Amino acid sequence: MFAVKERSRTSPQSHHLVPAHPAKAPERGPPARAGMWHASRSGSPESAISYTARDLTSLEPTGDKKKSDDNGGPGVPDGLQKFVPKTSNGKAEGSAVGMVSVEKPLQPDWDNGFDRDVAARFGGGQRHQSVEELGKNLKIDTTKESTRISQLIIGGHGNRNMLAAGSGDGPDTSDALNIKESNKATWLPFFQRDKFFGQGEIWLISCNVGNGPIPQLMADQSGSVVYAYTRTAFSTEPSPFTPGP
Amino acid sequence: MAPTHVLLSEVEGDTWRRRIVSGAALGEVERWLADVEARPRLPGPVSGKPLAWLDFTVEAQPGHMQTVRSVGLLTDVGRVLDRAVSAQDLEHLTAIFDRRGQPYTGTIER
Repeated sequence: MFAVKERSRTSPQSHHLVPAHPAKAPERGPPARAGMWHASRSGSPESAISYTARDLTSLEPTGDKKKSDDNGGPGVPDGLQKFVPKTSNGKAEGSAVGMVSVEKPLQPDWDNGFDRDVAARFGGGQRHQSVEELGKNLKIDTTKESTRISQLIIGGHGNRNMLAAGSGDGPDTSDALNIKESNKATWLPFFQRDKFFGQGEIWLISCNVGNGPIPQLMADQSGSVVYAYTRTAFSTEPSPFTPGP
Repeated sequence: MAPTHVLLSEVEGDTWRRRIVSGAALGEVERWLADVEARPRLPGPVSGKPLAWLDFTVEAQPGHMQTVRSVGLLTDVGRVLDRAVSAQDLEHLTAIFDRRGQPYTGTIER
C-alpha cells in the first residue's frame, strides 16, 4: 500500500495530506490489476519522509518572493504545488484503490532513465506509450465496477506546457503522445470524477508540470487534489508517497 | 562529420519556431555549449522534457538538414546536458540567433 504523508513547514509534527480517518473507510474490493493497489489513507507519522530541497534551479525570478511562496502552501514540501479542485468530489463510495501509470516512451532513446527508474520504483506497474494508452490504463467502468481511485500516480517526462505520454524527453510534441492544454478534450475524460473515491489525490511525477495549466485542469475535472512539481523532479524524489508491501 | 549549421528550435504552442545560423555564429554556439559542458554535472536522471533544441547539422540537400548532434534544452528548469544554466546563459544563446539567425522551414533528420 502507499501511504501519503507530508511534513509541515509550519508545524514540527508530521501529518497526513488527507484525513487519517476518512469519513467512510475504504472497502476491500476485487483483486487489483497491474499497477493498482488497495489504498490506505492512513499511515504512521514516524515513517514520514522529510524533503530536502535540491536542484531548485529555475528561470523564474524568486528574489522578491518569500520562500513559502515557492510551494503549494502550508504543509506542501518545497517544489511541489498543490492544486485544489474548484468543486471537490464529495462521493466516497466503493473500493478504494491506488493506481500508477508510468510513461514508456515510444522510442527507447527518448528516455534518459527517468521513466524506467520511476516504473521500477513503483514495481513495474502499468506503462503507457500514448495518451490513448494512459486512458486505457485508467479505465474504470463505474457502472459495473466498484473500484474507485483514492490515489493516482502518473509518471513521465514533462515541462510547464506538457506531460509526456509516450514522447519522453524527445522532440515529439504531438497530441497523440503528450498531455497538453490544447488537447484536453482527449484526456480530460480519463479523469472523470466518478472514478475517484471522493476527493482523491493525483500525483504527477514529472519536471515542472506544476508551473503550467495541466494540474488544475485535472483537479477540476476529477474533483481531486493534484500535486505537481514546480522544479526539476527525480525518480528518487523523496516524496510523501511511500511504496509499501 | 563537422556541422556546417546549427538550428535552434523553440516550442511555440504546438509547433516549433526554428532559426538557423552558420559560419562565425555556429562557432559562437559551439563555444556556448562547450562552456556549459565544462560545468559540473548535476544529479540525474531528471524528468524534464526540452522546450528547445539545438541541432548541429549538415545540409544533405537544399532544405533538408541532417543532424550530427542534437541537444535538448530544459529552458524552463535551467538545465542543459545535466548542467545548470541560468536565464542569462539562455539569453546569450538566443541572442546569437536574434542577431544572426534566419528562419528555417525545411526538414531536419535526426
